[in-house]
Amino acid sequence: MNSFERRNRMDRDTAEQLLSGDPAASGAGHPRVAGLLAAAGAPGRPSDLAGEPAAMAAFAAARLSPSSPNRRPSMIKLTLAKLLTVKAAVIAGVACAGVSGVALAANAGVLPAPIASHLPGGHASKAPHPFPSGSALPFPSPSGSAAGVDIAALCREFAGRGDEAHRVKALKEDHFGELVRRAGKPDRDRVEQFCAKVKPSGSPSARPDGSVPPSGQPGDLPGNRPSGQPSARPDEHAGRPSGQPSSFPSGSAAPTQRS
Amino acid sequence: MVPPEDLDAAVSAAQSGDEEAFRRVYRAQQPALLRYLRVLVGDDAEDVASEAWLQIARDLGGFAGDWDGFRGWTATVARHRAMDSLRAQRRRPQISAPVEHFLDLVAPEQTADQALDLVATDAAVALIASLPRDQAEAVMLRAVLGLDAKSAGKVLGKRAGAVRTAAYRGLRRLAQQLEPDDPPAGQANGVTPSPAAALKEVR
Repeated sequence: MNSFERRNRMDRDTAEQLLSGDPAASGAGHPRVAGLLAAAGAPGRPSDLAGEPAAMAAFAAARLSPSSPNRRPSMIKLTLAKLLTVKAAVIAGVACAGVSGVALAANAGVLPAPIASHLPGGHASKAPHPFPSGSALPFPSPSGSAAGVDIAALCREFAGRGDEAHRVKALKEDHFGELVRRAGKPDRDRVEQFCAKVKPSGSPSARPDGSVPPSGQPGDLPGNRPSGQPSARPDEHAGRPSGQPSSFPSGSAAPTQRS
Repeated sequence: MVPPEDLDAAVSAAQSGDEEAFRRVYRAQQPALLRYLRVLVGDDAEDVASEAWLQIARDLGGFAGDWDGFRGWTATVARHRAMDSLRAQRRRPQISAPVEHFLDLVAPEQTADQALDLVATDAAVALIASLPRDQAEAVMLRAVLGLDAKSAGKVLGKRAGAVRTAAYRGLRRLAQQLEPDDPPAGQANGVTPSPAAALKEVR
């Protein structure tokens, strides 16, 4: 560094003067820097304010919103709520994986009967099968009834078999074999629920397209069951718990793994 | 320029929902905010400023402070939106800031008191933007937004001393670009070389 540069070099004090807009700084050997800063900080011009209408609109909108003055607490609440939601979702997800895994196992006939009858939700129902009415059932979509066998006709026939005892007997007939196979198992409730999805009472034919039945029973519409448990639907969870059924063959492994 | 005391009152009134007060603080702050954003995001400055004012309007009720505090707070909001924008683009836009351009516009004998034309403002901001970002931001927050070192440090998440150093380095670099061979104070008015000659010496 030669003496000339040293003389010209800006020191910290001069920089502070320039930055704080001290008029004395402009004469302190750096007129161009002072001019530059003055130009950069020159008063605004009309084009700077092009966004004013948008800003005013934002202000008006914020005033209408009652939550805006107390934003901070609500943000904390929001964050807490989010955290809880995430936790709940994780717990629900784990539970779903467990339930659907067990459901798959039960469906595959892997589980021994005592476990199958004590599946979550099963104890709430007096029905002997592990899928209480109201829960979504792991049978194929009713829309499959259009293929080959006239499931709707079978259902009508099945429903016409008199009282409960007669219908339970009818389950064993070969004639209803396809219906039982579609419903998943030879269980009267199960078959009737299946039929309810295929053909609402009074409907002359199956509804493969899922159109609204004439009799109007929204609770029986496929996919519109208010009390359904989507978590137990095999079409949603079949892939996820693939490791679960294989860990149950002894029937004793399940409780230790779940706890 | 509106006296700061009036703007203290305007901030307070805007917080109570006074629309005209909000307009006044907007008009007082937006030009400086826009220039600061130009240093950060270049041509996106207007868009980012709009986003910043959206948030400022929304969160004004939760702000506590006077006009000085308001300037720092709005700069912080604007900076956050600018960082979002930069993250989305994954780069800081290159702002062309030829020294020649500025030297053509600002005659050496011009002082801070003199009226500078509008293009000079853009050229000056562009030249500051050509500094390393920490220096450019420190210079803008202090010289254009009028924040002291401590307030600027709050905006940047740095200590006041770090801001002072960054701003000082920025000014020193600008001085080297603009006044490479100016004589010291006292002789400046007589023997200033032409801008073109000064530029050659820089190169």
